[in-house]
Amino acid sequence: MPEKSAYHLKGILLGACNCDWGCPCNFEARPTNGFCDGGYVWHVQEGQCDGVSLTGLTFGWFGHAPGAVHEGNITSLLGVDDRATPQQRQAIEKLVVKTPDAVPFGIFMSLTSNFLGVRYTRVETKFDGVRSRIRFDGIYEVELTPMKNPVTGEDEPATLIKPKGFTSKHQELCTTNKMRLAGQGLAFEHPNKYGEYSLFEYKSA
Amino acid sequence: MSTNGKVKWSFEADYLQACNCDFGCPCEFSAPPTKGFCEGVGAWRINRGSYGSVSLNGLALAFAAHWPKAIHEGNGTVCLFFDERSNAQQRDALLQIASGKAGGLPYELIAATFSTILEPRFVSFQFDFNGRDSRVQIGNQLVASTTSIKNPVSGEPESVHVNHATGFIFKEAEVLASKDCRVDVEGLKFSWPQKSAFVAQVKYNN
Repeated sequence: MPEKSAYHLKGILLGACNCDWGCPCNFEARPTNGFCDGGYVWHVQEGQCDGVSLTGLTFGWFGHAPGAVHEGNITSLLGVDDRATPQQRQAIEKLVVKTPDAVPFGIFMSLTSNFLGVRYTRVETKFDGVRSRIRFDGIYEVELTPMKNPVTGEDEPATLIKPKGFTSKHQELCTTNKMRLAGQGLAFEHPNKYGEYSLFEYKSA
Repeated sequence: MSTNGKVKWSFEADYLQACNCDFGCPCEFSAPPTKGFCEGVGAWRINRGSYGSVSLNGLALAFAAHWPKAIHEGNGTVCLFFDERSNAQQRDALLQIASGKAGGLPYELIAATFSTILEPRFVSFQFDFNGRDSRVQIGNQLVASTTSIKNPVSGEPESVHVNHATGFIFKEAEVLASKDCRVDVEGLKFSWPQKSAFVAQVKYNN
């Protein structure tokens, strides 16, 4: 059943997918390989949902879209840090999986035709801008690294400012050393492709 | 006024670029071009600038080019366009700059990617810089115009700005869609509407 949630979350978003650096989807273009294997991981630096604090928690949504993401038919799963208390687990599941109005989660779930469920596992994080790392034990691992100039080999920083962005409005673009998902029913590995380190703030209306 | 035998130059300009890549042009992020090759145009309206004692204020220049692979892999074909209102000294100055001979980015780097250089054209430039909806017509040989990228679901105009501190053509720009990106000169002809475009303000020098 669709539900309502009252929430306000701020934190860090790490994204990675199988597209080339810059990810065409950022610009409403087709994904580089015609399909999307990707993951977004949210680390809540400060926030609550329905009065339950989610500060310090990390969760991630991982999916395969056979075409562009907005075309739907996505297979996805949700990973959540197993340090979450029963109350926090309930709040995250309700917010991400069951609240259609919660942007961006409700959009991703509305495009999902095959939801594989919620997986609780230990999450280890190390945040260092475009050199951040996150590991969902046994499920997902991503390690960001700067893009490199193809001629000089030097770091290439690039930032997108998107006032209408629905996952974030400020994205530091990068690539990945590691990007691997090994969830039951959904697995992929796409290192050296697109990565981003972003800041997010989501608030219910 | 010269440094290392080269005349000092600098200018500030409005810049419009369009190419055959998808919106967001992967090359901006050191990725391969969408179609594996690059066909693009770029036009500068110099608001203030000089080459030694020669004023470049109000003049314009542009390029249209084809590269068979990514730009940095070279072997490109280029046609340069210069403002027909420039006098002999100014024409020489613009040629020295745009050919890369005078040194300085971005021309010095771009020039190294060309193996075929077509006859330069001295023609009229009509600019209409108006943020995301900008346009340039160069003689009757080149037209480039831009508009907002549209959200594929809602159809609403998007707002995307890129900051790229190490960029050598621009360090920040509005990320846009082309309405027109076409050139027709002997040896170089293409048309790529509804592809990648950028509008930026730039400052260059040697």
